[in-house]
Amino acid sequence: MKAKKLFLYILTIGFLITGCRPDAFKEIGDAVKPVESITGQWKLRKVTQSDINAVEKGFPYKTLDITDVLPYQDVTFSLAFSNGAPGSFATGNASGLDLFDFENGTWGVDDINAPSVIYLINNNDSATLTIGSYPNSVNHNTLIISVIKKDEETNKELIRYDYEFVH
Amino acid sequence: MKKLITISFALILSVTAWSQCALTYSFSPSSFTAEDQFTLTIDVTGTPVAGLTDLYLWSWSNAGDAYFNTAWDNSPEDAKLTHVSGNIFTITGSGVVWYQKSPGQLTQMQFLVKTKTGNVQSCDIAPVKFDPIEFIPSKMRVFPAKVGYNDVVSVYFHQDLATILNEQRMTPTKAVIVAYDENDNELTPASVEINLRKENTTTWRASFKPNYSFTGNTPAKFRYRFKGTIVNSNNEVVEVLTDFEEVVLTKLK
Repeated sequence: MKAKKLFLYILTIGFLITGCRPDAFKEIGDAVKPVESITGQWKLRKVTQSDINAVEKGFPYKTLDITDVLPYQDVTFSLAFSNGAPGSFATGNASGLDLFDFENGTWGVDDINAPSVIYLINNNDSATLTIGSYPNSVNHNTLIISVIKKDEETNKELIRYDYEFVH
Repeated sequence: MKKLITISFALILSVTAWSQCALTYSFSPSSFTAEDQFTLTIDVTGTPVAGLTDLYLWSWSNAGDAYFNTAWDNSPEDAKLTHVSGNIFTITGSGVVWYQKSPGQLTQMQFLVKTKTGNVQSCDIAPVKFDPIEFIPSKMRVFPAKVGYNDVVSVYFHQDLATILNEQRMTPTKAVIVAYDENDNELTPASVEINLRKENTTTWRASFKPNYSFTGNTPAKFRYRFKGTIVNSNNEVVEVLTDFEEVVLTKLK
């Protein structure tokens, strides 16, 4: 009887040992780099304008949705990415509405692994766009970028435009 | 007739005298709050103090005199202007330091240029407004408060803050915008009328982009007012207009 019990114990332990093997997980592949997530062809969905002085001083009128003031939703913005590096950029619209100071050129970022700033370059001109949010499933693949306008004389930040782009 | 000629002559003389003592000046930065430091550059060419090198500032605000306005016939060294060259002078200061008041008390300033003893002086300049430290509600306002020619500008009409009866009674319909270049030339078209959007029961808004709405030279400033209708005592619908407000566009980068 004792031998039978002992046999059952050994059999159970044997099953437990052989049954507890690590599962073979599938390869998850390379992580999607944020810089790649911001590339491609984008369409402007929303434009918000903020008075930075009013925000800082707590004035009652701070921001305004200006999307429908002008045909902003016709504006497209494309960021090309090739050979692991930023390439050319272009903005387009049918109504001559300029989003930045120039319509095309090349682009770069401050940190290729985790960019927070996009630089648009056209010959000797450049524009700095601050990334507000990388596109992902939570924000419905929305690219949010901000442009700050400063007083030419004092360098004081006066106006911020927040642009929301979708594919 | 003789009296009319005398009055006309006196008027011409006074206008001529005024134009000969008016100062040319600029502030750097061009706009500032009462807390901000500025450098004031004054050109005294064509004024009674032109050609003199020891000149002093006499300044006052809506809240009182500058601390260096001690005695008209003996200005202190703190009021002395730095002679740059020719008829150009500078002085650095700020509203809170000069007028010894809190920023919230100061809304505007004025000045003239004089000799130490005050025996020769320029005319007063027109009031220069400080940028507000706190929000001041007004019948007509612009958002953002400082804009460039390439920005979206929104003009607001707050009817609840109007004090003129017709403006209180009118049904606002449009904003009328006139834009100018830096030489005060009107841009094309001569005016733009934009339908108003009702923001709430007492507030209307119109938005535009100066370099998109006007062509020709670069817009440097614009004037705006609001148009509406009222029903008069004969039960007729008549058009009414507010006064114009002027906005100087800021150079932005």
